[in-house]
Amino acid sequence: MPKDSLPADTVFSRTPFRFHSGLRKTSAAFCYGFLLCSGFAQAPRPQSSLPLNTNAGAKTPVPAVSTASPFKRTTAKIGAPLFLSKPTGNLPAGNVQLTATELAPDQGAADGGPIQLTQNLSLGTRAGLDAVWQHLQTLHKDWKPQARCQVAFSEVLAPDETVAFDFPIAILLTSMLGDWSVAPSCAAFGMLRPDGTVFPVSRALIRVTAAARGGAKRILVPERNGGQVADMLLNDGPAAFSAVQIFAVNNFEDAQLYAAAEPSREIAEALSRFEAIQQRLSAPGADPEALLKDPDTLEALRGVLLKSPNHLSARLLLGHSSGRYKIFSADGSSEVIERIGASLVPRAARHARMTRRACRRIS
Amino acid sequence: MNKEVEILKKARERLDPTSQPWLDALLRYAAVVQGWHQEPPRDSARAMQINAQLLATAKLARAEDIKLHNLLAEKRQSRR
Repeated sequence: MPKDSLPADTVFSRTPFRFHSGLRKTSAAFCYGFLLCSGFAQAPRPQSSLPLNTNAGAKTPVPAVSTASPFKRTTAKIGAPLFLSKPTGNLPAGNVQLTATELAPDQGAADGGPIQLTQNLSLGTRAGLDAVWQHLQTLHKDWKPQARCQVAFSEVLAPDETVAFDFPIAILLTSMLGDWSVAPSCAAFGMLRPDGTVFPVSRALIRVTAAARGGAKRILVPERNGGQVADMLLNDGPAAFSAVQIFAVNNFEDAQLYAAAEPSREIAEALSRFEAIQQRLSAPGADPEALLKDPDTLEALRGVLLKSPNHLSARLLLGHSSGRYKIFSADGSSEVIERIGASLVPRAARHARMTRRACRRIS
Repeated sequence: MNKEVEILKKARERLDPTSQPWLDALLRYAAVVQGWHQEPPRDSARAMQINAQLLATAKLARAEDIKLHNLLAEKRQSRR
């Protein structure tokens, strides 16, 4: 870079010592360093009016970056079915509201990173947030670590809930950075990798059920959790299952398509077509199983898939009409046993840990 | 617990074959507990016998539970 093109208020242009010869530069720098160490001289202070990011450990002040915020919106909200520390109903999970807010430079923890949470900062969580940060940086290059935001949860999460909120947090932040709004009754869960792949999470059947019961109308799930979503269809039946529109997401780039309050024309058409099917299946006196054999319903479901191939609800209802999904998946079976045997399973586990003598004493 | 056992028995045919050993072991444990409640042991020899059965079935159920969860975790890992 030519010297003339340097910004006028950088530290370097204000340094009062300028040298032209390499030899003189080296010897003068050595002498100056000696004087500095012995306290006979003071380091030159920059005369810039811009604020400096002074790092306590650094010897020289770091030039300030632009303070213009990359966030086009200051706040955003989304639902996420997460496991709670104190479950209120018969489900251990609930549809937790996540709220992301842009932080002012003097707010939040200075060393908390660009994405900060109000709770649940375990090691796994930090790794997940780093993945979100890395991926969003590839999409929004103007987002520097100095622009920080905080994500608050409406409920207290279970301590082992560490990564399932990566994906919804990434959706929130990308909506703030990209200036679009998330649909009000939208929920999402999943793990995000730095390359943008949305990974499946455990106990998806409980999560989807919790989101649906918590009032979500549109749910974004990792594509590879589709098997557990089919378990929900088997568990709740077609009428209750069709009350929500579930989309399978494999790559983060697709998230905006399905989560936006104002989606593209194709997705909007798929949503409205599926709403018509929902009304038909949940009409009073309707037989959902018989309706799913009706050619008009099947044609309507195919129409939804034509507009949006990732519409998981339509895909699974079509599969159900052709006789698929009669048994739970392996993951779903284990969740079903745990839920039905809510007192039996822990009792057996407690008994298994006992010694013969303790067991005799209790009985 | 009786209601749980009834629902579990009904749900059996809709469950994945990999979870059947766990369900069987749980139902066997539940049968021992139910037997204790229906006909409490009259002497200490009988009580010790049922205790031993309780421990054995509970340990089997726990072992099957752990085996299934390990299998599922392995599957999840291999999918990644």
